[in-house]
Amino acid sequence: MKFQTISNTIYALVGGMAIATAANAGEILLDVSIGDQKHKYTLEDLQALPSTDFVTSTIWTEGPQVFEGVLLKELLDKLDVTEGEIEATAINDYSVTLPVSDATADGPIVAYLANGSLMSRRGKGPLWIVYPYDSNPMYKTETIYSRSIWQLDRIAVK
Amino acid sequence: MANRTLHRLQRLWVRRTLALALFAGLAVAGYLAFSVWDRVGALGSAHQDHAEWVYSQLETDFLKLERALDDARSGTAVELTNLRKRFDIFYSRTQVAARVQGVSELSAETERLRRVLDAQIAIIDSPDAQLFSRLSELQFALQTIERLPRQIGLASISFAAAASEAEREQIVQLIEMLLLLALIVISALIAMTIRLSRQALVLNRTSRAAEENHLRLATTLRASLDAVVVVSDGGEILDFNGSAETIFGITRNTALGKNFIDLLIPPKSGTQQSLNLETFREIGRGRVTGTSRHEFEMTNDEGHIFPVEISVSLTRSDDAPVFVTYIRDITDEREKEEEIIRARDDALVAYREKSRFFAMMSHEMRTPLNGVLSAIHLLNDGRLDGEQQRFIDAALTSGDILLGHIDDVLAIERSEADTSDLELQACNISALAIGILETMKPLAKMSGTRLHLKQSGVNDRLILTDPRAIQQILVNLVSNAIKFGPDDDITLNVSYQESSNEDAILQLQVSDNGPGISQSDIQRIFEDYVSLDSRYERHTGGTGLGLGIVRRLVLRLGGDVTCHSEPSQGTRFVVRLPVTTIVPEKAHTPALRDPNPRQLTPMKLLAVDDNEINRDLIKAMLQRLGHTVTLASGGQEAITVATNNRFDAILMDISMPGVNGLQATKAILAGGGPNAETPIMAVTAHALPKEREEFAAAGMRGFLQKPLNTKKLNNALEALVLATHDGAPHIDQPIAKDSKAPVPLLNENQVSELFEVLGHATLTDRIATLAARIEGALPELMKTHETGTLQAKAHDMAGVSAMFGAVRLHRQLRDIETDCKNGDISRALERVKDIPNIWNNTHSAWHSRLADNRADTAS
Repeated sequence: MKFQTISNTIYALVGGMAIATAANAGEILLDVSIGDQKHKYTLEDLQALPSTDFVTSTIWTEGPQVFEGVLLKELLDKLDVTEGEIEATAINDYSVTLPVSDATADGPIVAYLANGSLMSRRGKGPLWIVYPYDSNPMYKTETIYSRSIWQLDRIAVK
Repeated sequence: MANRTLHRLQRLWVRRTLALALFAGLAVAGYLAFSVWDRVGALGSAHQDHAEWVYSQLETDFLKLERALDDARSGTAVELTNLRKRFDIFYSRTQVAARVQGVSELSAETERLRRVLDAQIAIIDSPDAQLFSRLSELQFALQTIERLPRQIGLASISFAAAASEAEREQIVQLIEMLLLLALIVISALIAMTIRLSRQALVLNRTSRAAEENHLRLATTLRASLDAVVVVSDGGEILDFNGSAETIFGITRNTALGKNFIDLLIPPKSGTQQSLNLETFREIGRGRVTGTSRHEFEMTNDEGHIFPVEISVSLTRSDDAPVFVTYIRDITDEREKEEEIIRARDDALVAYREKSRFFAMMSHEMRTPLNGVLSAIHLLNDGRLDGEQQRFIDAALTSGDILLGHIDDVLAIERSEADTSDLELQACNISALAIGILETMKPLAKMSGTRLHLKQSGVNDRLILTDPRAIQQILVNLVSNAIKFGPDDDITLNVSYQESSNEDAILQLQVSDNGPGISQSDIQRIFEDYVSLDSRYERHTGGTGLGLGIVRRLVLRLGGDVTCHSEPSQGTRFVVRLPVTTIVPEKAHTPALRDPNPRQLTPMKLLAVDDNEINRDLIKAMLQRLGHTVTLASGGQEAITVATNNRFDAILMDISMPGVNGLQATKAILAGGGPNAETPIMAVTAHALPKEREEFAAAGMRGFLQKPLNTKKLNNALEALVLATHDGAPHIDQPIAKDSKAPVPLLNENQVSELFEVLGHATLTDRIATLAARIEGALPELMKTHETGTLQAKAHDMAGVSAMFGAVRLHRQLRDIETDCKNGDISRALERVKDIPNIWNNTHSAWHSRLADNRADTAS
């Protein structure tokens, strides 16, 4: 147990060292395509949007975590997407389809900060769709877990 | 009672058990429900990502990393960046795989994987040239772990299988628990349903029974002949049945809700009823409630007040008490009752009137019959020829029979009077029996019967009884025997049997050897007006009252009479009377003791009667007996004559015009004249006991019933003389009355003795001395008020008076002495006041006695 904690700390340190490489300024982190329309977001673009944070535990992490990012709803609203589905895809091409209705005011966020730090690609970053799992039992299901896509880099609105 | 208690205990036990079971069931169900809920909650949330996916992706990402490594050997920047990306992806994947929970067998492998990866970070993060130069190193490192992702993936399959199996098992368990829970709940529901339906059934039945009961009650109420009024404790009428409507003339609808006191109770007793109700409300107990019936007055719609019989019962319905009142109009019953009482009173009055009528009539008949018989007796002086003698005899016989009939009627009247009028006196039964047989002998001789007397235990014993009644009983029984049995032997058997207590039994048995009486006739011979034998009717006639009189007299004396007979075996009448023997001193000789008239010393007599014939007859009879007779025709004349002459005895008629016998007697006795001490005898046909009491109260000392004959007169006078000599004050005087009789002034015996002993001259001298002494002492005695002195003086004077036979004076002085001893000075002084008067009377009595004696000796 103790050993695990120590190794976690090491990863965190290493992760922190990797930030510079993971989030170079101006680097495009997220592609959003609505049909032929393409929107590209850098970290700064996302941080320019109103941010939301919450504390929750996840099945992929140890202990409660503070996540901060843009509400998926905020993001889609900005793009006038109010219905239908979106296909979110990760760097490793893992892809999952979410209904737009999932994007509510107290729903998932596109997180870019975990516990106040940017997330490295090696640490499941840089973007992660996180639901507030603890605040709603409905979010503690396999479906939601499958929608909680990490290393997110593309969203296609259908 | 014990059964009910047991039943209650059982029900309580069942209820408790049920409650306990229900509680336990609820607890189990609650626990089950909680754990099911908990598990369902646990199932509802997934705790981990798809492990299979994670592990298979681990291998995929590893392979992609290897391929990216191969591609990077081209040395282009793009391939190197791609290598870095693939490394990062694999690295992240390893992190996630390490997070998959519960795969402890795999933790060593993932740990090793991570360690190797961590070691490569320095190479990956180095600049492109350096990375390129160290690719082989990186490849070597990756080769060392190339089998791990697959191993982890394969291992995870069996783990996942076990996990899913465990999960399924858990779900099965959960479902089983749910089923159990459902079963418990369903059983409970079924049990409850059964119980409820059963209760509903019982409830239904009970309510139906209650409804039927109610209907029946309502019908009963409506049909009841009594008015039924149901009243609340506040007096409000709650129900009013049909009979109530009829009785009170008020309809049910009008009556309901009204106050019963205002509506049904007469105003005069309304207040009392209100108070009763109030009292009930306060103490919870009613004065009129209960099963007993009360009589009351109530009023109808017209204000007519009528009597009712009411019974009130209290019912506690729900919480308020309710009076159920049954009311019956008893106007008719009351009227009938009054009618019956009136009829009874009328009958009693009529009976009394008739009784009075009989008494009056017998008196009225006796008076002339007395005249007739006395005249015939006077004619019968032995100087008649044969034919005349036969006529005289026939007339006497007929007169005697007629007299007998009248006597029967009078005897019936007498026998029906109260037992308190019994004239108990000491009497010699033996002598009485002898006397009766003697008187019956002539009659017996005529019919050829022989009379015998047997006695046992009687001797000369004196018995306290009513001799007149005994006499009547024996005469009736013996004469009956004589009439029924010509040529028979008739035996009177008198026996006296001591019994355990003070009372003894006197048995009088009259037996004959005549024709006897049949068993069926014995039943009715004691009834009035029953005559069995036609011969009896033909030969002697009769009222048929004889045995009825016997039965009445025996009953009055507290005894019983029985008849034992068989046809041709003779008849035996047995009378048994409870009697008391008394000491000889109290006795006096009964009138019939000696059947043979004895010649008395000639007496100086005054006879008073308003009837001239009677007067002459009495005079003749008395003269025949050798006495000197003065006559008076009325009360006033008697008083006048008595004032001037002293008599030995006075025969006084009672009912006379003007001053009657009673008034004259009182005047003579109270007058203080020469006859103040003379015995006065009532002579009358008035035979009722009450009147005889009046005679005694007036001071009369005897009673002689008309019609008179010489024998009767002689006996009465003889008794009078004997009584006076014995010191007994009265003849024919009930013993019970003795205490009321006044004490005579002088003791005649003592006076005679003094004359004999001292002689006239000496006694005259002594009396004068005595008078001087007493008259000297008298003023001092009168003045004395001190107890001791008074006692001493009274004692002295009492001694002197006793010596000279001054009985009344002596008694008075002795009483004064006693009072002084008792300390009752006021009573003593009260008695002293009478002394001068008593002394004066005593003195004059002595003087007249001295004067008489001188006259006697002179003649």
